[in-house]
Amino acid sequence: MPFDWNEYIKLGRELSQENDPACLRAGISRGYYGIYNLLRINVGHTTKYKPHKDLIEKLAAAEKYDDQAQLSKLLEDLKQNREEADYDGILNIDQRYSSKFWIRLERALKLYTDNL
Amino acid sequence: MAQDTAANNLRYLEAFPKTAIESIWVKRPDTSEYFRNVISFNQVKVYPVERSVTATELCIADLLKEEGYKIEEKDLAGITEFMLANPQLIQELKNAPEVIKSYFQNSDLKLKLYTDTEEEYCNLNILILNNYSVEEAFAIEEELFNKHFKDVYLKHKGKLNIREVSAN
Repeated sequence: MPFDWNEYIKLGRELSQENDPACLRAGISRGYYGIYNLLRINVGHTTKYKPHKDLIEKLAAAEKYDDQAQLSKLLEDLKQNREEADYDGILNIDQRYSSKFWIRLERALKLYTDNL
Repeated sequence: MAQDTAANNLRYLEAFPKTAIESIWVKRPDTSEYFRNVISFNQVKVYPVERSVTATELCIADLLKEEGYKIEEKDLAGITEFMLANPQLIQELKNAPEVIKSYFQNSDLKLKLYTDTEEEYCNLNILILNNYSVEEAFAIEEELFNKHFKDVYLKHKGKLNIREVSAN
């Protein structure tokens, strides 16, 4: 039974409710990998070389989605947020930052589920 | 040999009291390079090579600042290098502020080069610094992207992106 990547998104949402910077950062990271893997599998994307950037570019040309350009942009934005959360210890990752991430993730998730 | 020369220069520098440090950009005679923090003493100027920036960098920075973009000094060299590699983005950057400001009133625009830590690629972000609520800001950005910026994003394969962020 393959892992359900929605579980990562669910875990990320739970972590985002905590008023703790480590939880907010971890929530962003889990949420990103949840949506990334859902889209990767849906597009049939398997490369190991620059897989995130490659998926972002493939999404821009994926006609199966109603709004492929927006989905591509959203994943790019989410990836940048995720890298900031994972690597930038100076940046203030607070509830507002986290909310901006999650509103984008929920939008990307809707674009994905609407086109299943 | 170069190290010996540098050490000699340093000893020479230390032997004289510094009379001034010019923190504005100063053009070095007979070259096209500009320098900051030029040290002047006894009518001799020393141009700290490690802080040099070419005239091209200054031209690009001035051009972008005239269009209303803020650029942090530490990002200047990276953005210049990126713009030299992607000159087709200049016109897009000239067009964008007027459109963005019509959607995000009272916003500031800042250029930020995103360098991906893991996959080693670069995008130039137009950060839209604003004080709207999270929901409002996202809705406005979405409309702006769909009506005006989608074609730019696709045409340049995501090399230029817009991203609304909190002003504070």
